[in-house]
Amino acid sequence: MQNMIEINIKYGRNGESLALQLSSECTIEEIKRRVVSQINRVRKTEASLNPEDIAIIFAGKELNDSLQIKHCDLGNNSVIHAVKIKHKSSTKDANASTTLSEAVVNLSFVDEKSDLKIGRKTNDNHLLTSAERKSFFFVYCSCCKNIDSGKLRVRCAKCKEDTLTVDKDPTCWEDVLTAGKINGTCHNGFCDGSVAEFYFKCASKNHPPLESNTSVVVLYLIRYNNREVTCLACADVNDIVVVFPCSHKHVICINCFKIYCLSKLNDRQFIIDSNIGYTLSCAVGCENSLIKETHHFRIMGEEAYKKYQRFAAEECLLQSDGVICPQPNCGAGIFVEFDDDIDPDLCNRVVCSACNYVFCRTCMQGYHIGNCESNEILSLDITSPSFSQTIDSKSANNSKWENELSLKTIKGTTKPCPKCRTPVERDGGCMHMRCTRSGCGFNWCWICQSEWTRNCMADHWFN
Amino acid sequence: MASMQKRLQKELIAIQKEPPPGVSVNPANIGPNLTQWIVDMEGASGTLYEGEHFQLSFKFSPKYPFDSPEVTFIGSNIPIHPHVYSNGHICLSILSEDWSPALSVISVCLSIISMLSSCKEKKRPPDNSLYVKTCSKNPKKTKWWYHDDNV
Repeated sequence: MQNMIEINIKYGRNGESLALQLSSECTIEEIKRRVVSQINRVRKTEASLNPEDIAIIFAGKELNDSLQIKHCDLGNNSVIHAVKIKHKSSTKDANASTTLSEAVVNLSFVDEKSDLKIGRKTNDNHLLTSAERKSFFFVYCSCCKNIDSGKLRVRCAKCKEDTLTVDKDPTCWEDVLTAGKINGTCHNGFCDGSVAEFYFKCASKNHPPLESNTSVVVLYLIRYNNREVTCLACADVNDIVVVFPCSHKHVICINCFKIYCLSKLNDRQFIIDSNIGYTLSCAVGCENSLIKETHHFRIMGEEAYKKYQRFAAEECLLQSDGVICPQPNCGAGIFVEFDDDIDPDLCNRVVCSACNYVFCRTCMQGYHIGNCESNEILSLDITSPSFSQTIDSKSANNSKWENELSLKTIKGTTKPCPKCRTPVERDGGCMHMRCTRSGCGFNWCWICQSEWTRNCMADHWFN
Repeated sequence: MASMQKRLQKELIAIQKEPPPGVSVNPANIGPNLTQWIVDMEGASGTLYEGEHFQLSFKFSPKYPFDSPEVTFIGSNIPIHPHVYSNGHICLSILSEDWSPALSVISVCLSIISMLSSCKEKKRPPDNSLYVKTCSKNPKKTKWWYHDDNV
């Protein structure tokens, strides 16, 4: 027996299921017969069922009796549903011979109206093999910690079971990503659900079968380059590309997209958006082109993504008037609560909740009484109690020397941005400084250490 | 690094095959690993720079095309233009903050030709002597304050 696969068939209201070893040549009709005989054996008291009384539902479709398993996009351990037919439909669903994934593949190429004709021809497309067409989607799987191909599935929005058949196939990403766009009929017992809910599964060969229910994020900007578009960065035609969400739909290959993200991350040039989060726009710089699904940045790899998350948290904290503990190796984020009844002189005292370092919020120095010393941009109180308790005096001296040396270097060559306090090094050029930290961008004068004005330009622009 | 060289290789073939009017590249002026180019440029006819010959130096970092190239005029004839300093530095926004990886050597050359061609009076930038004295060798380290938005 060649090409045996194991299929799980759910049939009862209480989640009863049946595992069948089936050949890939086996038809849906044959499955129905085996399911019915199993049900009749278990439920001796109830009236016996006939194969024509049930329907087999998989991925939003009622499968045709004549279909063979190998044409159904079913894999090992796939789950299909056998349901009692609620109402006999007189005409067979015209689409029942195409699986959902294939239907969407055929249609997702036509999301731009001008290319309708090209889209309809995808069945003759030479670029993609049939297997590739079935795994057309790219997903980030939290279980595999990887970006791989994914499978589109659909369930009832009400009972969350896969027992729903769709009234029509989704025709664009909006149908899939926005809830409530596509209606259907749920065949699960007494459930009267009528709204389809699309979701994705990891189709990686390495995905552990027992974790089949891990939900994954679809990375809808990543596509197969079936139109052979040239990458805007490397000028090569590559198989897998990212299509930016700009009006021009600029195309960058997946490798260049990774480099683009990493170089923007290392320059801290991601953009913070109150709705989307920490993100990037089209590499060409098109307007209104922010990437909404930030899991696309998973492409950078595990380590860089952690850095991305840390930067995002810091930017978000600073935007919400929080502070970052200035103690080296701490950097904990602290939300400061202001209490109107408290003595205003004490308002700037902040205690770090992670390392207990006490500092002044205004000058980011160790806490002090009286006014901030504006010139002491960076100094480190190495003799604070929290330090002396944990570090012996010899290593404390070593670290003190190290720290003071590097701090002196930073202090000697930098001035803080008057707005966000990021130390800025001036390496020649004029006195007009523009803070490069994303989200700040403050224009300031190196001499006045305040906002750049026309007076600065007239008086000491270059010296 | 490899992708940067692949891209530059394609740009070099493109500029040799179909150079913009007045632009040429002598293969002898392409540095090792394609990281430095010298592009020859003729002033367009009917403009103030007609008959003049200029040379542009392009330097590419390993982060190209995500990082902009360093572009300066070099040689004995630096065009006298309100956006070109006498040390060859060019005040052009696409060379710094408006750079995009979709731009190329050809598009930079076209921008510079159009910048020169639209000039109505040959003069140096108003702050030329101060800038040339104080600036860094690399124009990319200059934070440009654009004199006007019509470049």
